[in-house]
Amino acid sequence: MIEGLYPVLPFIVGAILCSILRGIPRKIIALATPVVGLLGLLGLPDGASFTISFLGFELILAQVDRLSFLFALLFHIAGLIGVIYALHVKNRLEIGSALLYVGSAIGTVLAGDLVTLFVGWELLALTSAFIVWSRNDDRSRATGSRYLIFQVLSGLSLLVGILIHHQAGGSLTIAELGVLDLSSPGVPWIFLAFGIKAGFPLLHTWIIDTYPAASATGTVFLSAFTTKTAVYALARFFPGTEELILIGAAMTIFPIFYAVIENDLRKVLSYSMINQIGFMVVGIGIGTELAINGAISHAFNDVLFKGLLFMSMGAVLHVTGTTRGTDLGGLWKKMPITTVLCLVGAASISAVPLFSGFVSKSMVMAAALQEGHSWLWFLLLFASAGVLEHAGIKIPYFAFFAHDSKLEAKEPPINMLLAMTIGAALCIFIGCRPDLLYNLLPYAVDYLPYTTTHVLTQMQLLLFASLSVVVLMKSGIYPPELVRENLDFDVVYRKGGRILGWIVNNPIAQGMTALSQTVLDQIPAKIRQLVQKIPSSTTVQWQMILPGLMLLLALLVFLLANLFQ
Amino acid sequence: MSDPDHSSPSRIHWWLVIACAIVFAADFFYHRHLEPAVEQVEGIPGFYPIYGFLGIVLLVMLSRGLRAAVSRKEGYYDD
Repeated sequence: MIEGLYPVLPFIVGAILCSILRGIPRKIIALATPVVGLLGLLGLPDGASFTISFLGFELILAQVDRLSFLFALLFHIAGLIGVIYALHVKNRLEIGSALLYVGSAIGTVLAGDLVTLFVGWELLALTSAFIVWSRNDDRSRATGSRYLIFQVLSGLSLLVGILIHHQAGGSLTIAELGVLDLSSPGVPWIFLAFGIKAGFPLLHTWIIDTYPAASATGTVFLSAFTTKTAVYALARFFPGTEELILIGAAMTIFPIFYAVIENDLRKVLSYSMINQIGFMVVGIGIGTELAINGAISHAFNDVLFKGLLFMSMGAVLHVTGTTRGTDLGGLWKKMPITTVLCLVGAASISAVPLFSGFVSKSMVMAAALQEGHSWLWFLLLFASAGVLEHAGIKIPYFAFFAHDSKLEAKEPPINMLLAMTIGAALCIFIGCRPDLLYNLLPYAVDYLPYTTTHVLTQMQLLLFASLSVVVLMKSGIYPPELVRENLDFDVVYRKGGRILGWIVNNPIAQGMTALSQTVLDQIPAKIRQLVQKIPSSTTVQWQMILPGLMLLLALLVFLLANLFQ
Repeated sequence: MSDPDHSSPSRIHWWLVIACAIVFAADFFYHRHLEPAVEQVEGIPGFYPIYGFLGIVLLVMLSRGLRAAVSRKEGYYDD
């Protein structure tokens, strides 16, 4: 049944047109694509579905409910902001891939059955890899390949999971599935697939590898969709799965340490992204209505403020050619508008009152306390202070303030500024009018972010954390920015080949090889030489006697063994 | 910033100190709503300021340790 416009269709058409057209017409099509998609989505009645018959399957291409609608809406907004931000880009591969990528994300969150979900999942992987590759330098080529390996592994895991699940009699229709149980057949594979894309600890390395390597505009697209699609999938299939609490807590904690010592500011933001997804994963793991609402609203806000921060660093990259903290500093005089917009993103992610992070992150923390997870609450509070340190202070400070780098810089093109302004406006708007976001959430919201206690305690935490950063910097204890490579878990596979080589060819193995050569080759060779020196007739006699001798020896051993038993 | 700025505090730092003093003092005048699960800790006057300040100190100290453990020269993966 078709009711209205399938929201992915404009993106497919838009991508084809954008890869043919040039100049102004392409810009118009690129801008029109998410707008048409958005109008199509808003025109859909609640509960609308799109089904088609394919190879005897009845595929539910789209099934709109509150959760899928919210994510589809978010992806349209993020897509529009991304297109505006990238409007000056002449690279046709990038803009075409980006539109298909946005469409894939929307198709995945709207999917009404697991087969459609899988197809969307794979397209998301493929189209985004082309965004990475479209930068077309050595680093992005290598990184893009590693990225695609991770994404394909995720897709493969999902496919295996769906097949086993279906084989065991599980339904493929998402509406019938409800919450999946980790102990049922195939489901752990599905969980792993979501985990790779969500950046679970040890599976997270593709995020910090890829997002700093793509182009200024490419990363803005990448950062918004893949991980949030995974958050959607976790919220859809695994709410209340307790394992997610531990996984999410780990995700909020470990990146904040890396973020302190990392020099590339886009890599700092990549670690920051894992930290923010951690809050969402914790919320999904807690699974109460308040926690799920918190996780979903935080995903919504994160796309906007993380996008804004990536855009501001992209602007810095665009005009200076670098995002390394060691090279930057003092840009606020030359880029005052970008500086202010970056500060709005920094305040939003740090959950300063009146900015968007304040109204969503605290829902997850309140839910943790309601469920009696006190230890978790203390961890999340610590992680919140960590967010302020790296995203709230470090990013703007090292880029725009600190010492003057004397870099050539100016404000980025007007379209970049406009995209950032829209993002910043939404961050402040949601921070001041959270009820509008709350009304879109899956469950009715019974939560008031603006209480005197909440505002006061949050300001106490943030102001004293800031004071702490200042004191540590002034006293020289704060680690200075250094041009270094900080090893993360990816060292296991990026240097793994060498370790494998060492395992095969280590000193002990070399000794064993030498020993085996001696025992198996050289000694028998010597014996053969000796034997050959013996006259042939004697050899024959030996050949006849030897088996007899060996038999005798075996008998002797057998007797002795029995005697001493 | 490759070299931390050790200069004397500027005006913005004094504003920060004043703001900190105000929100800290507020704990002694305003009765905060406490969450039952963490009432005993959260109820200590100055809990949030102290937690925020020491949290960052702990974060930075541990990060220095992390840097010592995982930091390699740039281009480590290219060799």
